Amino acid sequence: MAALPEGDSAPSDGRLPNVGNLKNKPFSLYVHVPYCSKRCGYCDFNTYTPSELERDDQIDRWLQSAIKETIFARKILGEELTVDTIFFGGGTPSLLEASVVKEFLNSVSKHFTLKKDLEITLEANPDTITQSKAEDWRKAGINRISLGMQSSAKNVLQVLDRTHNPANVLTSVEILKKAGFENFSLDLIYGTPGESLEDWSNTLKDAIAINPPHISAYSLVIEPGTKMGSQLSRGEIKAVSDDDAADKYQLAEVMLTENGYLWYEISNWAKENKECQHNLNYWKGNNWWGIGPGAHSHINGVRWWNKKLPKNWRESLDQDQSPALARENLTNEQIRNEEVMLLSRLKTGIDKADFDQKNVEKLIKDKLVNEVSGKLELTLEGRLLADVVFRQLTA
Amino acid sequence: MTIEINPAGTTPPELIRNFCVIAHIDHGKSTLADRMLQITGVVEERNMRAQYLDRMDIERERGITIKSQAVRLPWVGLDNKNYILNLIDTPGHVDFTYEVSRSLEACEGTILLVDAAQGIEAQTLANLYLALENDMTIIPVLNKIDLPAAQPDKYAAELANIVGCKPGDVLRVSAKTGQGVKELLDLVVVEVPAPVGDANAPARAMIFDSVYDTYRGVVTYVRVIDGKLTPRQKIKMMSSGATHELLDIGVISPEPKSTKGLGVGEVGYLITGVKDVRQSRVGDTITDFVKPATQALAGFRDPKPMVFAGLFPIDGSDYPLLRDALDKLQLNDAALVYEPESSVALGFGYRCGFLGLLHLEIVRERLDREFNLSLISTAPSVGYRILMEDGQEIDITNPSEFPSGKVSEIYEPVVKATILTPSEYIGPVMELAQERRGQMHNMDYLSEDRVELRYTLPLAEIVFDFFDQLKSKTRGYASFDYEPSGEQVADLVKVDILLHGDPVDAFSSIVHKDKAYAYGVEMTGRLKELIPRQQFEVPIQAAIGARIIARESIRAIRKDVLAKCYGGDISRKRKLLEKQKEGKKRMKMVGRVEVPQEAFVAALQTNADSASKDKK
Ligand SMILES: Nc1nc2c(ncn2[C@@H]2O[C@H](COP(=O)(O)OP(=O)(O)O)[C@@H](O)[C@H]2O)c(=O)[nH]1
Ligand SMILES: C[S@@+](CC[C@H](N)C(=O)[O-])C[C@H]1O[C@@H](n2cnc3c(N)ncnc32)[C@H](O)[C@@H]1O
Ligand code: SF4
Ligand SMILES: [Mg+2]
Repeated sequence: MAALPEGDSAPSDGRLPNVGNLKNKPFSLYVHVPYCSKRCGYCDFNTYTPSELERDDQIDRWLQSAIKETIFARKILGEELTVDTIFFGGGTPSLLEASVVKEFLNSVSKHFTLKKDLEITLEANPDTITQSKAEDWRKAGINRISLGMQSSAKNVLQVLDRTHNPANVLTSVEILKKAGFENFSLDLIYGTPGESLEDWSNTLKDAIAINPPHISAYSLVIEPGTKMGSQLSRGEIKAVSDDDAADKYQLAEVMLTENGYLWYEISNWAKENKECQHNLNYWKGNNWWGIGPGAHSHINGVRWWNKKLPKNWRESLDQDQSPALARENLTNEQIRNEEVMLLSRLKTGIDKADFDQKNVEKLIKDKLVNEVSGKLELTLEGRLLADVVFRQLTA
Repeated sequence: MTIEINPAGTTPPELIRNFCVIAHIDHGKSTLADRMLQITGVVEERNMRAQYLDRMDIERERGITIKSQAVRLPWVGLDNKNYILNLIDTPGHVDFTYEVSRSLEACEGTILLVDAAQGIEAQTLANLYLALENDMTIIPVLNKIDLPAAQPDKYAAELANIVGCKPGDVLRVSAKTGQGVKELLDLVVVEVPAPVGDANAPARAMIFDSVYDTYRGVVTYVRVIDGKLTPRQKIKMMSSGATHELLDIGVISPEPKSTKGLGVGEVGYLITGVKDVRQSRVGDTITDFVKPATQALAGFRDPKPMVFAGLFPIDGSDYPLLRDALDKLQLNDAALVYEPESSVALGFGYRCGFLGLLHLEIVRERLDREFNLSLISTAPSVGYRILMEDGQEIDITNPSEFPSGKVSEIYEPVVKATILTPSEYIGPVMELAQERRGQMHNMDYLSEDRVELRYTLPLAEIVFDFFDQLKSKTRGYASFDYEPSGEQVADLVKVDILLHGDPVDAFSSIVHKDKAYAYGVEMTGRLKELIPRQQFEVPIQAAIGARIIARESIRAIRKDVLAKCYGGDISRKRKLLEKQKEGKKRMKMVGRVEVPQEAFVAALQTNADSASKDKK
């Protein structure tokens, strides 16, 4: 599991330092559902299988604590904010019963104002979706699904140690469409050991054939401590080269663009107006509260993250205390660094005038960025070298 | 109060015996000295500690003796007379050959101490030859006879063969248990000739060691040849004419003790208040200022640096600290020379000259340990004398000084090397020496299964990994020593390493023509592994002048981005990027290429490292 960043200690009453006006930025809710039926080989998310949890922390006990944190959030924020987007992430949120989703959203609407037609996304695994569940989610207010397709190559899904097969994806999409989910996204992973360029090209082809409004494509990261991390260190699998990953990224860009998907963030492509609003809020430095074990929050330059273990998270809330483990009060320099880091990854770019022009010229000369009406926009090469661009912009 | 018999300054020469011990590292010299201190009663039992005479920390830890010491030991001989034995400790390593030769010069006899489980080693042999050249009395002794693995008969025969005595004449001792040490002291009285000198002649004393001490300034160790030195006397250094007053004069037994003076044949220390050992140099003759001797003692020499390396602080802002540290080390190390050097790749540092590889390593370690300096050292190199076609002559100590004009001849320093090896490894040893352009002079069987090989070798060929190679080819059994032996004409070229077209001065090297290609291939290959991929393709070339002899290329990096960046990843990712940015600050720019410090260190290491192993 990814280590949490180090931070200062968070006060147990959860009180924020003076963070100023909360209404001048969009505010979102992230809702973490830390349960999976089985852990995938590459996964380092904060998620647990049933056998890893005590009875009191199983998925059916999630709701009461999640509602408690919603109320706690309302108290700490001190005013009834308008929620711009909601995102159920995991873990596997699609394991939640629709009734639970409904009750949770009801509670949210009691303590917050919901923006009209706000985007409410739920991450779903292809082998967890049934027709009735999908219809009930829709009725409960979910209006966007992010489906973890990953690959359409059997051998790749096998190396990733996924529970689903390629056929599950097609069935799920059928169900989702029938249930009225016009807005959905497919998550893809490339660069899995053993994946050929053809495997990847076929995955892209199959994903495009489904015609989703949105596609994410992530280069596989194998973290130490995961199952695949151990396989890698034992030499059972071989890491793919950066060149292979770069080739596959470029293939994705070409095929997706040809089919009407435009990149709007390094790993994300969408048809017109189908960008994920929730993620854009993260990247634009807006505010959000993360509900759930290990969830991260950001309110006007203060970041904090919850205790990772469901038990610790629950117990804090049971005592009406903050479930936060630690937090960071960002300095102006850190805020600026994050802004550069995040905005520069977006198609909409970042203001050119704010940087040392010598650094900018060098990047333009190296063809890593273009200037588009006063903004710096990553080139295709630049997208693959975004960390280089960041270092140079902030040098 | 006990009345001192034979107080210093008045000891009759016929009751003095000056001797030293020649031994390989770990053969037991320090332990033997400890026993002598105990048996003669100069150190009481309860004050005894191991390696009593090895003062400096660095010496004790590495088990080597860098600076000589002299102790005065009272001893009642078999004839019941009260003798004074002066034990003069010699540095064991070849880098300090000159100091060894001065220590030997201060004695009339030497104990040749050999581990009875190991036999004689090349370094001992080299020092023995020095002693024999000085016509000294040699007392062969086998140590560690208490060890179960000792083979006293075998090695007694070997020693007898080398020294030219009967195996039965080889004394057998255990420095550890003390067995035989008393007999050894008696033998010193009988065998070692008493010093001879003219008590009425103008004073002449030879400096055989000179040590800087923070509290007292320079402490100079001398052996009086003629006349007498007394407190408050005005003295003169015969090489420079500099004059000083004797603020303190005395003997060491084993702590320093002021005396009324030092007479003919005596050994002791003196303090004049000078602050820098270069003002009181080993080998120089001290005489009386008012009534000076006309003739200096023979053999004074300015030890010449043989091995050179650039030392650069890893953190450029440490440069002034490095300068101060070198200045301080020089107070105690007359052989250390240095001058500022600037390198495109490594920034500002010093080009330093050393007596040899051990000397280099000791200086580097002291800079690290005593001054807390992290340094990059360039590969050690040697000095060359270059004759140009226009008749000009240029001395260089740094490949970067290699002239670009027409070279007519290049002279490189050579050494006389002694290699001892078990006879079964003669083949591989000869092969190695051949590969290193060695010329064999002779081969002697010391015993049935041990052979001594004598070679002339270019110094440049041994400053790299010669000793390592020798050890690995002989399973660690061979030993090796060398001494400078002039120069020879050689077919040498300068190989440059170019990164993205820009030469990297730190990697330039002067090598034999036949080895240029191998050097080029090795270095370009190594750099390819060490330098991270850049945004553009980086050719790495090795060149002699304009001619490229080897090339590699680092392909451009195409991907340097973290794929996902969710809410939870932001802090972590920011920190990662900030850390990377810090890392970039420690990059050195070679033209447009960013090279991490570590790459320089690693690329230069293999060579420098073997230097550090040479002493072990
Ligand atoms: N068994 C045994 N060990 C000895 C004897 N003399 C020295 N040693 C050991 O050999 C090692 C090296 O001795 P040392 O006096 O430091 O050698 P140096 O390097 O010649 O000064 C030490 O571990 C000593 O304890 C001896 O007579 N018998
Ligand atoms: C929050 S995750 C998990 C959602 C869901 N449980 C699933 O696995 O489909 C969302 C997406 O991140 C991507 N992802 C997860 N771990 C990854 C890794 N180690 N490397 C690259 N992408 C990863 C996958 O495409 C995944 O669908
Ligand atoms: S389903 Fe998703 S969250 Fe669960 S283990 Fe697999 S990758 Fe991780
Ligand atoms: Mg010793």
